[in-house]
This record gives sequence, C-alpha cells and structure tokens, in this order.
Amino acid sequence: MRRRSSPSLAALQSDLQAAILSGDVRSVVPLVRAGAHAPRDTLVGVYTSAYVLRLIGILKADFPLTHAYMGDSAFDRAVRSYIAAHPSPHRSARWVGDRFAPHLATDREFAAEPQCGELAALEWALGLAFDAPDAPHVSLSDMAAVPPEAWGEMIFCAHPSAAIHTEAWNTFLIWSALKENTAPPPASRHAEPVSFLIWRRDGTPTLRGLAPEEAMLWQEAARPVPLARMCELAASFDDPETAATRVAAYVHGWLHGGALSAVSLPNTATGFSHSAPLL
Amino acid sequence: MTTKSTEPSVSRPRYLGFGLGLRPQHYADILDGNPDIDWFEVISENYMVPGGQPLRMLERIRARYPIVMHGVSLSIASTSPLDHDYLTGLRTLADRFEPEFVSDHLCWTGVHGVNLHDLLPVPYTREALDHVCARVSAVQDAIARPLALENVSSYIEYAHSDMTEWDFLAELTRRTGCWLVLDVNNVFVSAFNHGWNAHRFIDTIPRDRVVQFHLAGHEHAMTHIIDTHDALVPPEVWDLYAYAVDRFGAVSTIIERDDHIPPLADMVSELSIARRIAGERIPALAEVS
Repeated sequence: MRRRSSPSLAALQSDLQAAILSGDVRSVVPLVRAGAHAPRDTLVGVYTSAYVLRLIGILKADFPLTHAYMGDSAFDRAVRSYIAAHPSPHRSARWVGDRFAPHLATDREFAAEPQCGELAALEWALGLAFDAPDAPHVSLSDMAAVPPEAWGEMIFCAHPSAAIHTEAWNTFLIWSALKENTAPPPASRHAEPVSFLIWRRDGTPTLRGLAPEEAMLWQEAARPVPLARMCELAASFDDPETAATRVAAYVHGWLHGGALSAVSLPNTATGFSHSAPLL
Repeated sequence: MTTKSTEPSVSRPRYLGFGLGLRPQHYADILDGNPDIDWFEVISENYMVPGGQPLRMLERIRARYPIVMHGVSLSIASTSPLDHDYLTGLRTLADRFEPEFVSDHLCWTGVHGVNLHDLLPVPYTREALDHVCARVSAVQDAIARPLALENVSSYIEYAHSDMTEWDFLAELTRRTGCWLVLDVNNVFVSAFNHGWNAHRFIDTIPRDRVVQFHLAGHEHAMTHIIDTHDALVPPEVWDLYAYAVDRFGAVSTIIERDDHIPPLADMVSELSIARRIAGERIPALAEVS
C-alpha cells in the first residue's frame, strides 16, 4: 500500500512505462490525480494512445510506399506488432524502423507476403543512403592519373552510402509503380535473386540493377581486392577473353555514377592504404 | 540534498528576436528567399546523423542565421543512467554548429533501455528534484555548455507530488544555474488539464532565467487539451504570451510547428503576430523590427 501512495521515482517510471507499452493503464491510474475536467484513466490513456500513434506516424514517414502498398489497416497492425516485439531503444526517431523490414519478413501475418518485408527493406536501405557519412566521389580522371602499369594493384573504396540490396521478389517494380503513383504489379518471385546498387548521388539516394557478375565484383571490390584479382574473378565467372573489358566497364560505371570514394595503391610497407583518396 | 546550490557561471544567452523551428519542408524557401526570420531552433536529434543532406542544409542555414539546438531525447529525469554516447553526439553537433545554447525538456522519455519517444512528466517531489539537479549538472559538464530546460505539456499529475511544477522549475534553475525555455502553449495546456492558474505559473518562474519562449497550437478535446503543435497559435495562447512578455521582457521567441506544416510564408505571417504583441509591450522591439 505504501508503494502505491508514494512510489520511488524509479518504480513510478517503470510502472508507467509498462502501462504505456502494454496499453493497460489500470495499475497506474491510482498513481495520478483526477484531472480538472477528465477522469484519470482518460488522461493516462492519452499517453498510451499517443505512444502508438506517434510510432505509426514515424514509420509511415520512413516507409511511405510500404504503407501505401499495405494500406492503413494492415500497416497499422504491422506497426503495432513491431513495436510490441521491438520497443525502441533509440534516442532518435530516425532509427525506430531499423528492424521493421526483418520483422515483416518473419511476422506471422505478413511473412506470407514477403514482398512487404522486401519493400520495407528497400525503403530502409534508401534511407540509410540518404544520411550516410559524407565522403568524396572519385572520377574517371582521378583513376586515369594512376600509372597504367600500377592499375592491376589498384583497389577501390566504396562511397559510405553505397550498399548492395538483393530481392527475391519483384519488389523494385512494385516500388517503382508506387513511386509513380500507379497500380503495382502482382507480386512474383524471381527465378534467381536480383541485386541493386544503392548509393547517394548529388545528395539523393539512387539505385540501379546489377547483373550477377557485376554484383559479385562490386562485393569483391568493396572488400577490397585489387583490380587484377577482379579480372581473374570475372574470367572464372564468364568468358575469360572479355573479362578485362567487362571489369573496365563496371569500374567505369561505378566511377561515373559516383559510387566510389577512393582509388588507391597498396602500400608495400604498411599494407593497403585505402582510407583516403590517393588522387 | 545531493547537489549543492550553484550560481549561474555563464552569461545569459543573447536576445535573438523572432524565429521558427527549422523544418525540412522549408529548406528551399529559406535558402532561396530572404524570409523575415531572425533565427532558427533545430531539433538536435534530426542532425545527429552520419552525413548527407540534413547536415549540409544545416551548414548552409547556420551560415546565415543563429541557431539554438533543441533536443527531445535527453531524458533528464529518467532513472536510467545518462547516455554518454548521446551526450557525446550532442556535444559534437554543438561544437560543429555553435548554437546560442542547447535545450531539451524537463521530462523523461523511457527507462530500462527503451525510448517511448514521448515527453513524460516528472513527479514534483524532493527525490525527483535532487535527481534532476544532479543530472543537469552532469549534462552541462558533458556538453560543456549551459542547458536550458522546457516545461512540457502534461495530462497527468502524480498523486504523491508535493510541489507545484513552477516551484520545481524555480528551484531547479536556482540550484543548477540552468536556463528555462517557457513554452507558453504548454503552460496553457497543462493549466487547463490540471485546473491551475497559468498566470500563477508564469508569475512564479524566476524573471531572469527564461531565455526562450515557445509558441504553438493544440487540439481541444473538451475534457482535456492535447498538445499537438500542429495548428495555429490560438488566441488564448497569444493572450498568455502577452502576459509572459509583460513579466519576462524581451525573450527570444519561436513558433514551433511539428505537424500539418504550412508554407513558410504562412509561418512568417504568424510570426508577425508575435512581433506585434511583443512590440506593443516593449517599444524598443518594435523599433528593431
């Protein structure tokens, strides 16, 4: 009884938080005074309602096309399920949705529609590119300044915003249709997973599809492996005769698109030095 | 008492005039035009990101306007330990953008590693006062700047509170030297919800500790008022603002809109009401405008 009449600050916060998370305010109503015009349960209920509505609002802003695709009702259920499973540990609302896509992929109701989780994953990945760390973009002319005899040893540093996104379903087409405000196509599974390169270009997230070989080489380049090794990998992946030409075309595309932030040569004394632009 | 009384060791932040809460929807109009805005308040957490457009926009705006950093996640009254990673990020941002001061709210936002993303009220007790005073001092040390704390809108008062909110704030600022952001709308909302006199709140807050006014709108639910910050400042809040200007004098003022954000021109027009009200009471301000 004493605890009910005068709880410690820690106990009070623990109890009120539990009520807000569960939506069951009965245990905390006795801890508050009647309002001037409203009963106590109504006033405590403001916090429980606001909690859910605020997080739904945050996730609608972060996943606008997933919301559009799923519709209000399903999206609200998904968010309620998500925040029940994953209360936010984050100081900033920016990161509240960090586990939303994996949650959709495994949630009992939405796992049967895997394109929903993939669509959320795509939107989250684009968001990560939006405010990823800043870094320079190297260009073709920067690479041209490296002596040709050293090109085989050259390694690349991906722009911090760049990442590979892979989908098993036609999520990109659904995303594109929603973005254009047109009817999305029916969900269909690809014969093989399809990869996209996402990065920030001129301040705006962008993406483009990658052929399987280019996706493989991008991931190898990002390790990083030197250009000569990339050519060997390309030769084992497809026609050896044209491997160097294909790799050159990929690297040209990455440079032209601004997906690389550094080109460098190995430092024989200290190992690879790829943390800063060489050129 | 677990903290000792301290006198303010730094000078009062300068008067900034009439500003707005910075919102991304207004970036282009701010940078392309020359709106009649003296300064901006920025939500600290919105810029505690690795890079990209938010920080680039803030750099450009900061080059032209004074700013104040206003946080929503300090959770100064939480019984969970202070988040030193968060404080380091806050200080890094402040070192980079050099705000006039850093503010947050007298509230808690979660415990046990959870953030409820809400501004939850504090019980006004000696225990809570000692706890908050100790943490304010620790935060001011961590960010190497004075902190200003804002009164929140509240819907509940705890049964065991043995102080009023205004006495709590007055004692808090006396003991820690922190500054206060007086959200006039929040005073109005809480006064209605709890049945106390908004003028008494304002009359009790130390005259020399308020460094900023917030103005905003709300939603009236008949039996209570919800602080939505999504509507025009209503006449009753303008009246209370006039009362606050009479007591506190020339205090940096913003209109804060968090949702249903109108075009910048509409916000500037609304801001002109604040200029007029303050100018009528402090002729020197009207001359500056």
